[in-house]
Amino acid sequence: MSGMHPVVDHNAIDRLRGFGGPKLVRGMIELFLSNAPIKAADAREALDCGDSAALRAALHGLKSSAGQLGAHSVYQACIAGEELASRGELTPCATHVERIEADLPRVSRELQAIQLEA
Amino acid sequence: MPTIAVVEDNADNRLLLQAILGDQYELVEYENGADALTGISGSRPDLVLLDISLPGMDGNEILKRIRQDSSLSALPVIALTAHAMAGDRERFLAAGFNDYVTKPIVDETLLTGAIERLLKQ
Repeated sequence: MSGMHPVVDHNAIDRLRGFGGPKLVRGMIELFLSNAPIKAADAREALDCGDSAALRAALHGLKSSAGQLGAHSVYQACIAGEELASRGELTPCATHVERIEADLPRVSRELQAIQLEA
Repeated sequence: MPTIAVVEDNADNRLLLQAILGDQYELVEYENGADALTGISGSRPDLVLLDISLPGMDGNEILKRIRQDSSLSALPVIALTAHAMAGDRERFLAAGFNDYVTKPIVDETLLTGAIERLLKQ
């Protein structure tokens, strides 16, 4: 873990703290930690089943909170994947779903640490 | 205190909007278009914040129905959207929205300023 760059933009967290204090930060992180794994699993299932509408919905559901919390790699993967899924282009979506699956655990760990400090 | 109807299916966005706006406005939250139209018709808010990308009936369809209802047609409606591309502002205004705010929200004054302007009109 040492030497690895953060996957959560702390400027985004500071911004949320400015909007609504530690309570908002904790609340939004709690929601993300509850929902993000489900949305990622939904995206994987939709991709594997070839369901572009379900994939688009899953990525859309994850995108907003990832963006608001500064999880930029997950956010960008959701944007790209949602756009492709909306056009029915499922094959290239795999890269973005894989990116989400790869980064989500570390994002979650960083957010959990932030939540404890908030 | 003015009332704002928030039509947004995403729980963390609703939480964020409550944090930003809850001290100045009474927020009434709806997670889908059908409930929003029923609620807004029954108890007219002063302004609507409307997510474009709702499942089922999307924001554009909800707006269309608001504008078709003579008792609601003049209601100020701000679009909440993740799409921020060239020409979007003109498209949203042409569709009948009074303004739009992009998500994620990075500058709350864009939202609060839009609300204040519309409520003064």
